[in-house]
Amino acid sequence: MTIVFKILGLTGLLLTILPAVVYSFDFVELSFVKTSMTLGMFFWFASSIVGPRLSSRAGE
Amino acid sequence: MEQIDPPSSVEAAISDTTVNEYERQPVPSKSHKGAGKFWGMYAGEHAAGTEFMIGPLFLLNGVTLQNVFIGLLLGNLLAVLSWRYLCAPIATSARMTLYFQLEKIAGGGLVKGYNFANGVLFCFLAGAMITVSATAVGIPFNMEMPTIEAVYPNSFLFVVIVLAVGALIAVVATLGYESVAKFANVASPWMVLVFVACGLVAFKELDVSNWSELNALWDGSIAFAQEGKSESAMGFWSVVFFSWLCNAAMHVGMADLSVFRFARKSSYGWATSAGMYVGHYVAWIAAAFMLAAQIKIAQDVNPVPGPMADRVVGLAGIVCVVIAGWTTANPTIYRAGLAFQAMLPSVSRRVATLAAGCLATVAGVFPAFAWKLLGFVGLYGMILAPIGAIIFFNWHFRSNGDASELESREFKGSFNFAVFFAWLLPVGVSLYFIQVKGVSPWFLTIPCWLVCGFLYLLFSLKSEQA
Repeated sequence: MTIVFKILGLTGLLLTILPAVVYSFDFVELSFVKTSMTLGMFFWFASSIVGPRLSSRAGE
Repeated sequence: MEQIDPPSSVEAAISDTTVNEYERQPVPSKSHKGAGKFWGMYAGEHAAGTEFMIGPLFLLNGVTLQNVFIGLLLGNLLAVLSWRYLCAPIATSARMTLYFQLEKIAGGGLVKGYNFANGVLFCFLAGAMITVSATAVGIPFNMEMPTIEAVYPNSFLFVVIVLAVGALIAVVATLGYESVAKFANVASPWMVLVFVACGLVAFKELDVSNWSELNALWDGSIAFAQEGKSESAMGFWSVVFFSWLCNAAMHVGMADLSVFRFARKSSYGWATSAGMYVGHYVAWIAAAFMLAAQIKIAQDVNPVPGPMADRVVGLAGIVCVVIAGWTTANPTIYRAGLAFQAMLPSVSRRVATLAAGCLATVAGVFPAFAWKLLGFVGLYGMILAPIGAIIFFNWHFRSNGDASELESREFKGSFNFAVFFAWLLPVGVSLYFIQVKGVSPWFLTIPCWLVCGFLYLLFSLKSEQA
């Protein structure tokens, strides 16, 4: 389960920064950046707060 | 900037779990920590809510773009060198907190005075952070944002939101800050990326393709903000000295002895470059671009962090402003509470922390503290940093860099007047120059620090002869 949350957290960080990089090259709209950053935020906090608790309950 | 930045929640995390065990003794070698902890701690510590304020204030003060880029590069380098070569070597040799070392030099009574000054200044700093958080919390309520000229609150809703945010932070601070510190550790990598994303999006909105276009747009933004005057209140050296000394209390002021006494080697002082160049370079410049983009698109010169972040990156930006303000205001209030409690030991820590929280919340109601952050942070460093000169001069010239000699020369009384007057005279003269002559405080910090150190040596020598 730990690896799943690590991947989720990394995805969250990538969703936070990559769309802004791509936006600066005119590939996506600003609304896409805002949406993916919001998703990235949920992914990051889910993986780093909920993840460790679930993992410890599962005895990992 | 914090801190200008204040002691961070991350530092607090170290403090709460381990430092307290060695508050009144040198840290033993089994508790020394590796370099990674310090790099991570400083990178997170300087991604604070106040970074959203400081960058835009450079633009509003008419600092040229070249001065921002080169001045911050040099000033932050000087700050890193101060940590590395002034603070870290003493910390890794003596391995004591500032307070314990100061108590040995100046007596317990004077340490209480230092604590009080520290506590009051912390409260006003926390007040600015509460204001910053409130500007983000107020967005869903359609709160009318305070303007850059505002000294007093501009609406009843603003007061209510500041009181609510301040009360929440104060109550959480009374419960201790370990959980908030853990949350700050979790949030800091994400916050750093949000800062970078804000800068990238804002830069794209500026729609410039080369340096001269960016420069012209920056100058145009300054002219618009200053209603056509385009005057610079801060030159190159102002930017250098401000960025060097906004954390003066921590490096030349030796407050970070508390942190680096856990370092295996003094070379870990280089870890501060993570905080300086992520928080005080990338984040400040990103925030300044956010204001420039806001001026270009919305013709709005108010550097209100919440709406600025909302406009460029949406909900993630709003949450980042709230978390950045909260996670730095919380330990600041907690520490102010501890400082007040040291003054009045009969009062419980919770009551002292609540009192500090109330003072910070009242300060947060007045947006002027946030708008005048540059001057306040400079003043904070100028008042507290000279205490570091006492530590530095005592360590190198009276104790000869030897902790056992520091112990043997311990001051026996409770109030060392040599230390008190060595601090009071230069700080008093500097305050005169700041208030009456209008000199920027960051230009007076180093002269004040040097004079304080020399006066301390002179007064100590005289008192010993007497």
